Amino acid sequence: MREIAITAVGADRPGIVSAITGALLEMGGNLADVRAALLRGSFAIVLVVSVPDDVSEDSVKDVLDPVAEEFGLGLWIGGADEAGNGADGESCVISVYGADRPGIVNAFSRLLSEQAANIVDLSSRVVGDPPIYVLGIAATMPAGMDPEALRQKLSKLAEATGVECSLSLDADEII
Amino acid sequence: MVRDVVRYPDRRLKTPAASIGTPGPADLRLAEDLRDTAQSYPRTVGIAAPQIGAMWRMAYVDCGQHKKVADPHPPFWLIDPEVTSADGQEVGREGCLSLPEITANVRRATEITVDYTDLQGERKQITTAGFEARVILHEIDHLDGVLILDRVSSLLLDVFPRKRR
Repeated sequence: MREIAITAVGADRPGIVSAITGALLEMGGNLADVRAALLRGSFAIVLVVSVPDDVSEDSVKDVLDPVAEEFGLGLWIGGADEAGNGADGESCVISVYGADRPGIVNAFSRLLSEQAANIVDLSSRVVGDPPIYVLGIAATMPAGMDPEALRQKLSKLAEATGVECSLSLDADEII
Repeated sequence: MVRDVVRYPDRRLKTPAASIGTPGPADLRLAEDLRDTAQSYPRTVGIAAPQIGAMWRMAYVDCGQHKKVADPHPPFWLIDPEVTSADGQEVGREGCLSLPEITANVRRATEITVDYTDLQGERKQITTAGFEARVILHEIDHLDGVLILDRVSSLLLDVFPRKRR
């Protein structure tokens, strides 16, 4: 089996997930990780699917093209990368919120990038009135990085940006 | 003796364990196995009998030298534990030997009192707070066939892949 990554984005309507996964199932695919989200009116889905070795990316495309056409989806299909190409230190979750303004995600992602921390999950949204921007980032720090040092850099950035920020570390004990 | 740890989706982890009553020789051997198995894994502060496939209401807790616990009790075994009071609530991250690839945010009481039977067969009471209370509640959940994935508010937001170490 080999893994193929698929992304599809389009105007939201019922039946998108069912149609995509049905087509993949018919060709012998087995879903690995899937994330999907409704962002305002756009539905976005990313799937990693295991397929038999003799199934090419082109044949996956042939199967999904009719679905994309029916539902008006933009489609991308490519080989899935193996896990573990990023940083390999401690995991952490960074929570940021504050008055909405342009540049919050960029500022925090730039800091993490400069520190060689790898973002593994991110979601953000504007909530409430007046609008508050809420951002959650899960990241992996480079091996040997002192979490306190990162916490201090994040605090400084939060102060400079006028937002609140906290960092929590992954549990390291097993119960 | 160090025993193999049962991992989900083994159905024993979703099955309530049976009461022990007065512990006998087999229960004392089980107690030793729980301790030996817990000590064979790094950073492991508790283990419940169903996690080694023994469907009896016994757990072992050792928060000694844990950085989150300022004044831990010495290692102890809980037989037929019952929570008699629970106060406060706090969300904390938990990892589990039986779900080794994930951690999850779980809301638990912060102060608890638990009645239990000790290895000598005497009914005792323990009152504790914070992380040690969390560990005890986690182990009692195992005796009831409850896992951290049953406790999260959201499987999307509260479950995290754990890095292999």
